[in-house]
Amino acid sequence: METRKEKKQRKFKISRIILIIIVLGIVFIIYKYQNVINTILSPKSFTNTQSKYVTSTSYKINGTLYFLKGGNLWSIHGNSNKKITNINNMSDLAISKNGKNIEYTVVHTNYSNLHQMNINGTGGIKITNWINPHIGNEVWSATPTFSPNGLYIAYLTNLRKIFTGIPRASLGIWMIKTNRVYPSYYGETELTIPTKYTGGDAGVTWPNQNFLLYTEYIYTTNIAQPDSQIMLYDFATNTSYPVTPISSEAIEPRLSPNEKYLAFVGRRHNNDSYLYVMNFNLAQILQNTETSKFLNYKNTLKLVNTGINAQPTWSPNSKSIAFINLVNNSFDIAIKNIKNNKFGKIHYLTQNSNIDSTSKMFWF
Amino acid sequence: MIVNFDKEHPQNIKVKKNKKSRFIKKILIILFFIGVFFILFIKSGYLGVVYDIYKITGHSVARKKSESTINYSKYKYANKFTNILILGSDTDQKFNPQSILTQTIMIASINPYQKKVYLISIPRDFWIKIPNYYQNGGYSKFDTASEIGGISLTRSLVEKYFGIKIDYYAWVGLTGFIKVINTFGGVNIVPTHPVLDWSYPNDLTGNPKLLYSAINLYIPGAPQYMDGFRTLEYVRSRHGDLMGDFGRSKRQQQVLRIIEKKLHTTSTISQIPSLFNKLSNVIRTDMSIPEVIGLAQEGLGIHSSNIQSIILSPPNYSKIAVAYGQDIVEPRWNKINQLFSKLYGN
Repeated sequence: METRKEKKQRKFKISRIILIIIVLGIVFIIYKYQNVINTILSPKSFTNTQSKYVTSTSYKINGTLYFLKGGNLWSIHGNSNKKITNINNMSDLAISKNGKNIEYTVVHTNYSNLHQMNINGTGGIKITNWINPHIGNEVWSATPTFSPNGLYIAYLTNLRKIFTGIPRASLGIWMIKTNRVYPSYYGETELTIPTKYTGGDAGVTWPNQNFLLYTEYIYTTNIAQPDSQIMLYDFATNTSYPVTPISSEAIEPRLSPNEKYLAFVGRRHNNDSYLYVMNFNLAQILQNTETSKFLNYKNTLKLVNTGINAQPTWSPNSKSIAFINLVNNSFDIAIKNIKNNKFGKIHYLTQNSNIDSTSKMFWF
Repeated sequence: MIVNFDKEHPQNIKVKKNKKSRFIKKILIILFFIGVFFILFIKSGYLGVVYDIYKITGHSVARKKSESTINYSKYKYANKFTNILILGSDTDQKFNPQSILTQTIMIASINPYQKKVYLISIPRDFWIKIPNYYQNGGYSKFDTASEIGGISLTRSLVEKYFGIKIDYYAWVGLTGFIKVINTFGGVNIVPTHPVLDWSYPNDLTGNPKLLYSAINLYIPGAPQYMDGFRTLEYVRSRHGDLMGDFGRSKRQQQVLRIIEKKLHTTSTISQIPSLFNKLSNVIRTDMSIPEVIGLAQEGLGIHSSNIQSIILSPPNYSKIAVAYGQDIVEPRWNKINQLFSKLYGN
């Protein structure tokens, strides 16, 4: 007959066995499903948040700022944002001075084309029509910009290769009429001949009917990689003049609407790009003498001297400058205001929004 | 008569009860530690890491007898550096895994004492004499060494020509490179210039018929975010540069430095589990796990400003030439030796 004590002992033994089985079971489950458990519990990997939305901050701007994100046109008015298109393939935004038309490129494998539409996203048409058979001819259309009178578009292309058959691995600036009908590329006007094997000219803007501003890449002492400088193309003489020295490594020139200041980005060796502003004097640039050259550049003001900055954009009254700034691993829109001839602190218009930093912004 | 001591001696009962409670305590303690062990390891993902890291590490390549004749003491202080041979190969599908073309050959030297790092790119077209190779008068391009004699030959040639001992190697293929960059969440980059290439290899489509085809490529010069695929295009393109390989070496070093910068972020350590999980099968090295950890600690203690990038490019360290109908890069050994003496000699 099993005594009470023995019964207790037997129960204790059984409970120990059960406990050991449970522990072993847990160990087995953990081992078997470690990947699932790891996924749930382990920290997320390095991320570059690709949110579909733009998150505005409380800072309000005067007017409307247009920009690209995720291949679509967006705007910020005050501090509320709006997605205007839903086509997911826009890059290289340009808006006409009257604010009615937009130009952009659509990039395909092997080629890209210019497209045009109304500012509200309607009435889209193709302006160039390079097609896939151009493989090997590498025809690209990039970075369009409207002339101030809205009749022309200047843009980057390597049509030169089509005409000469010589690969240059560079895009030059060409000009076409806005009412042009593809598919012919006759009637295009070549404005610049880019340096070979540099990738070509870049960042074209047309702030005044009489001149363009752009970035030129050129090989100097460093033959492994080209240097860059800002140039001014004068329509009166069909000549390009340097605005900044080659050593400036300057890109993305933007002239203020009052034509007094030139903002630009300076590339720095440690993978940074700072934001600068200098006075702009057209007569001095066109004079292009040894004494007049780069006088204003020598007094350049450093606006942001840390991190990656891009696409400076002036407000219509030339009193604020918007730019894209890398913050928390996301490209966001920042603003600096001028007060008493001094630039103030940085205000952010968006956060964690991953704005397309390769496209220009426009402020109306 | 059997004497039941338990019944007769309460002292014995107490002893047995104590034994039981001690046993329970032991079980509970063991359970507690098992629990803590699993919580810690699972929370940090180390169970997976241990498995994944073994896939990456420990791929040692045996040294051949001939390598023992190399005089490693040529540079007196070279042993203060840990030298890693970084090899990047062309499409994994194009070659036998044991004999691949190494289009990227780089020496990463870490000196934890002086807290400095050198990244030295060796041009793939460097024209060198290869032992037991009988074509072209015994000469070939540096990138063919791994095709001829595997990683061990490449390693021994680097040691022979540059006079430094290679402690470890690390190999990454194209898809591996994409994964590495994606694992780091892509890179935010200020391109050295716009990249325009009229003959970029189209070999990652998965379609064998397209393995040797090419596409046009354009990457704008504006500061931008690049995912792994785009970054590969950026560092691999060479037709858009005046100096082809030298231009892309510069871009490769730029991306390496961005990754190095990312490793300095405080969140890196906590992300090591997912890092290894994603990189197993796409990277190979002969380092052991403690060596990887040790090197990571040494590397993380060095500031970015103490990293020196060098490309053995013309006109200082080499010159462009033609040999046996091939475009080659002829090393200027006297200049290279001077450079290495300066870098590793004091």
